Amino acid sequence: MTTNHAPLLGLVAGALLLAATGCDGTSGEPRGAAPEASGPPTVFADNFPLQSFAQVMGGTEVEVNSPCLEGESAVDYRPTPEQIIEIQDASLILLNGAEFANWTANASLPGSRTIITANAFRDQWLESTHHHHHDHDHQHGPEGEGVHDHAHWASHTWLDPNLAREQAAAAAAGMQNRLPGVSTVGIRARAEDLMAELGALADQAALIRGLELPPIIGSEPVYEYLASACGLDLHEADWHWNEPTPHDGMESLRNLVLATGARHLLVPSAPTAERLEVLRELGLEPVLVMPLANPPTPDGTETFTTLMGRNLDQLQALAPGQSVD
Amino acid sequence: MSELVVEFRDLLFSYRGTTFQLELPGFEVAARERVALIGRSGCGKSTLLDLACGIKRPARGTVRFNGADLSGRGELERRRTRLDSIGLVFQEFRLLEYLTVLDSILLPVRLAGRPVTRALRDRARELASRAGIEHLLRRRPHRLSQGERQRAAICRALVSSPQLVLADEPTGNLDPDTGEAVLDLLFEEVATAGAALLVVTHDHVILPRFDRVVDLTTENRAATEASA
Amino acid sequence: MNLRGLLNAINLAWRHLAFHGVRSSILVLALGISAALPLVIQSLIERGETATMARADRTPLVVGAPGGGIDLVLGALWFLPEPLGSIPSRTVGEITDSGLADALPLSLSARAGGAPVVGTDVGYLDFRDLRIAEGRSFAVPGECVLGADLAAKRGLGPGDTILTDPEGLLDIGGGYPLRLRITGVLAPARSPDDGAVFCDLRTSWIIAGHGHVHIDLEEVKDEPEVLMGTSEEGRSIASAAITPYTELTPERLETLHFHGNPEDLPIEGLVVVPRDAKSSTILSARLERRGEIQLARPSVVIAEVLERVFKIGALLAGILVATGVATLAVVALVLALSIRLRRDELDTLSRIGAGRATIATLLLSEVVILAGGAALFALLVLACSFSLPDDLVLRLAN
Repeated sequence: MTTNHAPLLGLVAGALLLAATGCDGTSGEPRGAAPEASGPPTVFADNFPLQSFAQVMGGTEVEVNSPCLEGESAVDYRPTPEQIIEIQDASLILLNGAEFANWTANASLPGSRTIITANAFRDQWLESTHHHHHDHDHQHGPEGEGVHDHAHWASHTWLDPNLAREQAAAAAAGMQNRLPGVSTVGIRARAEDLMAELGALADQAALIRGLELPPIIGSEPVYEYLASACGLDLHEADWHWNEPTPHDGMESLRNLVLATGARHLLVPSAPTAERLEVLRELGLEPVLVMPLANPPTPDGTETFTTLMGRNLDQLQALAPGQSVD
Repeated sequence: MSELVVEFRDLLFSYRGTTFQLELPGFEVAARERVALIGRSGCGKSTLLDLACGIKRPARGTVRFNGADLSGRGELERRRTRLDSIGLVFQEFRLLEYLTVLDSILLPVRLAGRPVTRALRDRARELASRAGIEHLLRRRPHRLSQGERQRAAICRALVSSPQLVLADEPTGNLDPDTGEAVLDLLFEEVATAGAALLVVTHDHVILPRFDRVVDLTTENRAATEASA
Repeated sequence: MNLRGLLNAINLAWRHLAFHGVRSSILVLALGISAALPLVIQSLIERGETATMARADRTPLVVGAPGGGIDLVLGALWFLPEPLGSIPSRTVGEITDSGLADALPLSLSARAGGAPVVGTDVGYLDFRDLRIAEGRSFAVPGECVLGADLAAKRGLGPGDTILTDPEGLLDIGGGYPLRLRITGVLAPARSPDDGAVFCDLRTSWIIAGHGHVHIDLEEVKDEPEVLMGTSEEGRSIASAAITPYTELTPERLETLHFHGNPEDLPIEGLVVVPRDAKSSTILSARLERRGEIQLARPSVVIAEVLERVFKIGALLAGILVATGVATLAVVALVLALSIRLRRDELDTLSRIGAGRATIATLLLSEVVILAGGAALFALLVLACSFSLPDDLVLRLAN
């Protein structure tokens, strides 16, 4: 071919080349659902009761993650953004609600897979007896003044077995709807057993309410729902009961004991011998009632219902005529 | 007398709507014979060439080519005869602007629907070599001189090894020296090919090179009558 | 004429066209373009229609403030910048709590350099099958992920920041630009999601001035636009613009709070994904009864829009067909003229011995070669048009 063929040949060659290579740039990359790791579906729970419920109902078919299983305080947990991303990937996210776990208020979690279990009984939420300090004292403009200043809610809802039961029911509904590849029949059967156990605890709480226990002092602001469920005459001590040395609160506690005639102090964990001595001097006997936001031991081998049963037994033992161990 | 390549008998030709007439009682060209055709402008020299190669058909009489009746045959057969056995050389060369010299020489082969074989290519090269234009085989006409163009055209006329070459004023557009050289080539090649040659010319200087000179002004009976 | 004769004629035709390469090319391009354009328009409209319809079909229901259904759907699905009315965010909970559907909130009022800032739930990314190609998703307010096109166009990636556009200067209540931390870039989805910024709904509320954080003045004393000076007692005086300041650091996030109940804060739209057909029917009936919100079915709304677009497209294609016919006529004229100009050449061919059939074949071959080249070119243009985005029609409408 001679040079004069160049323009037309170039045109044809270019056309064929482009047609062959395909200038449409479609990528054959498949788009699918979020990459699902192999293994059982995961459930995230932000405290021990929900972790326990999910594990009991899910059995070996689900993997339940919770900061309370990793030695973190469920109350004070502050996940890093990376940890939040891991939580986002869970098939189901069970949150307590009622202002439990501050971090959940600002974390981006998928609404459709997140169940705030205490939302089922908003009308039964209790205000916290604890005095909150606002760490931001500031003035708002006219339109903003006091707008965000609201009551704080008590958040240990599960210490009322009836509410714990409702939370378990909400978790059960979520697990039946949201866990791919997990038999709903199995979950339903185990959920019924759990409901029965929680029902028995509710009955025990009702029984305790009938006992009309003597006044009692709470060492920490966590027992509001327990008091409501068991009809306790609960007084809250503004006293950091388990600090190594006595402090100013000592005097107010003594006054509280005098004013109420209370003989018992609800404590979240066993006091040290030294503390026990201080309490006995005040005429107070410690009663171990675990708040159960975290398991008493990080391994969480005992279920919530077992431990809660133990809590209620402790209270029941306070009734006149019953012996205190 | 050797066998005749072209033979006109009792021929009459006229253009429709004109007074022009060509009337020849007899005209022939023998094999290998070199004939010059002269005469006044408009006396029918070019028409005679067209009749000899079957482009035109007479109103009366016959044109025989190689002893066979050409004028009585159909268009297709006359074209076939022209492509296979007759070479044409024109005053204005008539090379196709888009063909190289090599392709121009091979054009009659292509138009005849024959394959361009290696032998034909070699023949084309050989002709070009003898015409002194072998180095120009890949050029197109616009890059050739007038003389080179006519040499290419002569090669084209000879590529099919014709028995007759018809040339209409082959040197008419060339300067005398170039014309002389081109004519040398034409005579040589026709001789080499063993073809007969019928040349229309106005150039009386070259007439002695021909075996025979025919003056159509006198031969054309119609013209004679018209002028008488 | 035998096959060899045909091939020889085609050979001569090709040589003629090649010799006049520029002219032949122009003829091929002109013919090709006039053939391709109506087809390209037609194909783009059809593909646009398919892609647009696909996005509409994949978005079962949309809820927003009462008003134009088209505006709501175009806003919620294509993030078009037309302002939309708002509804309280509690609607999300109301729909989710019904157990009939999932609801994904959309806050669409903010922009970042003109690109839509979509405040939503992280579940939106799953809903649209948007994969994180680089980095990670957003985890807290102040973080965002970028669509593939936007990230590529601005050259941004994880670790960079993007500043939101300030709202109108007269909007004293809010609209301070917020510096969003980019935590991830999405894989290309060939949808409007490629051009958007995605962040938490609360981030959009902060941009809109519905919430604020507190800033330790010690922390910003080197930032002159915040700090106005020092009082007589040596205390720092902050500008009023301190309220939602540029970037939400983890420390600042601790102090984040909203003005009023977050459930009362506005969202512009809501994608509703019913559990099943029955849930959809029940929920639609319930929502349609409510006067303060509007329920729109994108598939229905978009089908109406496309019907109009299609009519315009058909008109356009018609005009182009007419142009094509005119081009064809011009090309035919050019060819006819060229045959007249080639009379000498054709006469030579005839004299040498080419028959009418050969000459006709020669000319026809040229037309066929030109037409073939034009068809090839038209196919090429058509193939290239496939690389254009599917939702081109709506992007053009944007």
